[in-house]
Amino acid sequence: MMTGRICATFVVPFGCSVVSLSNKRVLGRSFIKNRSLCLKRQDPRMSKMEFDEEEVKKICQLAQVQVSKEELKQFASDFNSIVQLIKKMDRLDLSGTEAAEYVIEAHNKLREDIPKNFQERDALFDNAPAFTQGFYQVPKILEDTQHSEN
Amino acid sequence: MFWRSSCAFFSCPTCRPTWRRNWKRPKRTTRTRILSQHTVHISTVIKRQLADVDNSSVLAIAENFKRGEWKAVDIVMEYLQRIHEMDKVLSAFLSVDAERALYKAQLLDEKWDKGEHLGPLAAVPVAIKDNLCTKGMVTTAGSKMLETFVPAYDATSVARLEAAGAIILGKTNMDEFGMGSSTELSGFHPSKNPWDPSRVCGGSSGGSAGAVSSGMAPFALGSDTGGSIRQPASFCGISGLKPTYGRVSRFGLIAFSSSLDTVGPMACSVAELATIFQILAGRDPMDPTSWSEAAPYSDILHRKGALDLKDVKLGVVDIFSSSLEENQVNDVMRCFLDSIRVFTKLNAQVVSISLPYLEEALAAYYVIAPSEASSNLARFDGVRFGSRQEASHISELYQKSRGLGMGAEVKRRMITGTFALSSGYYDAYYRKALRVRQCIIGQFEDLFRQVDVILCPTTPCAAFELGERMGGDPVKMYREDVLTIPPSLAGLPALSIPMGFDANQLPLGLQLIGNRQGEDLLFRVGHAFQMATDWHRQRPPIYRQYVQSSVTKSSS
Repeated sequence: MMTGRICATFVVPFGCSVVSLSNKRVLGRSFIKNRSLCLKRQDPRMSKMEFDEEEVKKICQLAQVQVSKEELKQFASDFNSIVQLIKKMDRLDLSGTEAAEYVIEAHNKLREDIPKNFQERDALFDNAPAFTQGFYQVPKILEDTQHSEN
Repeated sequence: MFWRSSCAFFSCPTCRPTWRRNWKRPKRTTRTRILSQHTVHISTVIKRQLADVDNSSVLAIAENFKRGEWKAVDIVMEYLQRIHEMDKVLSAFLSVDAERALYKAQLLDEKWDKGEHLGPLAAVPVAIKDNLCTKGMVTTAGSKMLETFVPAYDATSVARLEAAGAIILGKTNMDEFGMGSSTELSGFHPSKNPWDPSRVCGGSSGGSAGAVSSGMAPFALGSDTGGSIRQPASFCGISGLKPTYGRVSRFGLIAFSSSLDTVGPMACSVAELATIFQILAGRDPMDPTSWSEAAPYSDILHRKGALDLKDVKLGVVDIFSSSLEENQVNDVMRCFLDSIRVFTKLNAQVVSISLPYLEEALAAYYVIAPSEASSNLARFDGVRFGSRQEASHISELYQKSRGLGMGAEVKRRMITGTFALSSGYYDAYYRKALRVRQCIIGQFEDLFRQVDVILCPTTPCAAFELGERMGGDPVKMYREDVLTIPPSLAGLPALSIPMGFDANQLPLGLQLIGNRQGEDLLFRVGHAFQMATDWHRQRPPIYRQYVQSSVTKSSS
């Protein structure tokens, strides 16, 4: 699951500081605050099949995606029909079946510990919306107790 | 006449050369000098020759270039002209880089003059789906979130094609981040089907399929997660391959669902797919999920007796008992039964099998894919790349950038995935979906003990109209993938080839599913079918009109 944000395919070797919030932390804080979601989580079998706009809004907050009021209405009904679809999995008898965690039998491949430099480092920073003196500029991160619930 | 057409060409917004940051302009040649080297006579001759179906295949172009009959610049100019004429109707391309293509073509011409070694795809133009990173070319994955993103490296599959001598024409349209089955869900504009521009071209590799089908590119690269190569190939009447998971490197592919994504070629015939596949496949140290002990690919297409399928057992899916919707077009049944008769004539043994868990596989896919997508798309936060909105706080930055940069379908899938992975629901949904997946894998293992290749239609219907599945229930769109999802879940290779037309003259596709690493047998069976039929040689009306008008223009 999400444990932190990592760069798509490259780790920038040195020199720039990436400040990003782990989603898990936001997840944790949101769960503590929202008791109704906690109750549902304790017994998912008793959870109702219908999800209303409030619950969909909470999931949007977990996913850190802002939705407008019109979109929220549409998403609530779409989400319900998607849940109807995915409930069809219950028709199968899965006793004795393991979860397919890996599609291929892959093992960690080791290589020689020879450092390489990525030559196009500056091109990576060209894509940044706001970048100065080796740092990605972002707005305020701390003092966020009021803001993270909006 | 040539100058007039070239001026119009360069003032066309689709094909006007784009300027890229940090790209060093070659000092030696300018645009005008490249154009001035060619005469009206040569461009007309190559136009007529390329109009012929046999001459415009990947192999024929490479062959003609190596023999010296055509210059690479002429080939590229002709394809750029086709894009200029046809893309205003079809909108298959998101960006076309004419200057880069012509520059590479000129380099190849110089290499040919000096007698240097040329790759197997030398001078063959290619269209790349926009979720594959191309160094120096804007790569958007069909989303406004990445509208200005320019990668600093090439995807491995792109790098391998470039090393083989292929010339990238441009990036094709796709559903946003690969989520969709019609290319209407692109963040920019929908792409139209070359066979009927009022219909969709399928998705998510719809732009690539449209480009190949209409002749705007001899072949294209696409990506397949749940049918995204096979379904548009079926809708547009071309051949598309989804390789075994791990056989082609995923490095540089903007990830949608990491355990399901594959990169594959799309072309007009299976023989071309086989050539391209040999270049793309192989271990890549940059992709930890690429097969390390890949079975050596044997070029069995040209072996003696390859077209006689007497040692091949084909499993035909009994679609009457499978859980498809009742209003399945009879045309699909008719074409499918005709295809089975063709295989019987080729001496293949045909056995009836059933795939009983289609609905459950669909359900599992629509838990696993959105879950993995919700994780993979967490990187698009507006901090290091992508579009960013003004915000006073970091959470607001994430929420606003993602909310405004991503489309409705992407948000729907992220909501589904976040829900399925959230604490308390993880076992009930995601873990259960993984067990269903294991069930499907086991089912296919049992089937492949009895048969060599499985046959079924690629899609339950032909291309639907633009806007038909939009709005209302999203599950209507999801059901398009019901036949393509099971092999994706099991990581098996699958090939879609044209098998006929429906009552509205729209193409239908036949899907061949092979065992793990069994692409060579798939190519053999598909090639044998295409030698016995000519569905793959049909071209859409828009292409025939282009050929007609360009030939009359040149002779006037």
